[in-house]
Amino acid sequence: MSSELQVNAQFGFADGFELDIALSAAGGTVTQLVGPSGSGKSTILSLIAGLLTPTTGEISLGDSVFFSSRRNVDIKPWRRNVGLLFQRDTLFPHLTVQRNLSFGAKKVATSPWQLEAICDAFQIQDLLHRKPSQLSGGQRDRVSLGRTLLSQPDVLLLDEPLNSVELDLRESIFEFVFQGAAEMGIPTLMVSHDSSLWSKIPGSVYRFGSDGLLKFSG
Amino acid sequence: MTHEQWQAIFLSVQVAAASLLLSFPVAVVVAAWLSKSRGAVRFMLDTAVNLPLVLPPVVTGYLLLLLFGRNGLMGGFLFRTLGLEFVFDFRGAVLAAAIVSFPLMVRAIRLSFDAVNPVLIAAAKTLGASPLKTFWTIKLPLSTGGLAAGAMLAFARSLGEFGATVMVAGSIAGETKTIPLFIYEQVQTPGGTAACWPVVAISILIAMVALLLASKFETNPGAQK
Repeated sequence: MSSELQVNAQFGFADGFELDIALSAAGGTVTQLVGPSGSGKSTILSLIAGLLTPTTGEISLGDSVFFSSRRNVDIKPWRRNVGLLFQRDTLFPHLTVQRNLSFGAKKVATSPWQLEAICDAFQIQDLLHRKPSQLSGGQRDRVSLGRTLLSQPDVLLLDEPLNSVELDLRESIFEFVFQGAAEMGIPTLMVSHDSSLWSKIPGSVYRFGSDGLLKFSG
Repeated sequence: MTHEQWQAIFLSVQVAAASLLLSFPVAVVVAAWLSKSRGAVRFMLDTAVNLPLVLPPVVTGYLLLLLFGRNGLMGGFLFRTLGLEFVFDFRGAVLAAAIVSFPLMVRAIRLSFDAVNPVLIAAAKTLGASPLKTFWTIKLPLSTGGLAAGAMLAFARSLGEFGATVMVAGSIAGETKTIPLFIYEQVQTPGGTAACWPVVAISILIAMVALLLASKFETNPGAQK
């Protein structure tokens, strides 16, 4: 099932800055959000995931409305089935890698994102019994992304993914992730600072202008 | 050491342990609620929880006597329905210790809940965990240090409880005469101070171990960085 992610929303920051968002991401494609730090890229991901609430507007994925101020709808984050990979380390420190991966994992037989395939592609099979404190930055990045994929999300939100992972492995992991998303018709929204990625990854690019508005540029 | 000295020590440990068992689950629920909520209701509950910390223990004891006496609102009900009595009873000593130590326990637990990195909670939510599952699987395990520290502090405070206990439970040997009450009685008795020292020493030892354990447990693995 291929669903389009639609975001038409406004969000007011505590300092008075108003973020006006109008974007769409087709199922199975990768949409990149680029722009300077503090422009609100991560905020958009949090709004889609339900961790922040827009002031007004609507957020939907296919026929599912996540948020609508007009219809008074605000689905809780744990019911949205949105896979958000945070920029910060969010591995649960008291759980092993294996238990982190199984936290929120769902069994979907048709999904290419299965535990064994992820362990293989991400090269984390030897880390399963370790605690997050025993992992390097790159290993943590890989486990975090693996955990997000195993939750079999309907939309994938990646905030500065795999920053600490070496280039070759990063590219092969991206290929694995985007290919799976394309197979399942899942829209992927990715925030990235790395300008070398912008042209390498096929799909739309949304760029933040100095006026804070989101402009389509790809 | 005499039988009466050992009796006071064992009774104190029994009262402190029973009060801990009684108040710990309630303290976890109250601390979780206080950690999450805001507004006037939270302020009122927070004030009520902390009241025994600032009230003279004798006043707390007097209020408990009014409430849990046989003619009191709670005491009358519990006596009629379950046959439970609190005044001049072991249960009264446990109740007094539980109420007086409650704010310390709630404060330590709430602080450890507050210290859990909110990004971890957000991550659990996006992975489909309901608030209850997030609490049981993430927040609670990451706060074990604070839970243990709160329990140890409450245990140590219960051992030293005097004012509220004497008001509610009196000083009955083997029933309600805990370490502080034993020491107080010995000091009142001519030549009785010598009997205090072994009990004082053991009391200090137990309290120090409890405080040491509390400070050891305070480290929180899920604290914000």
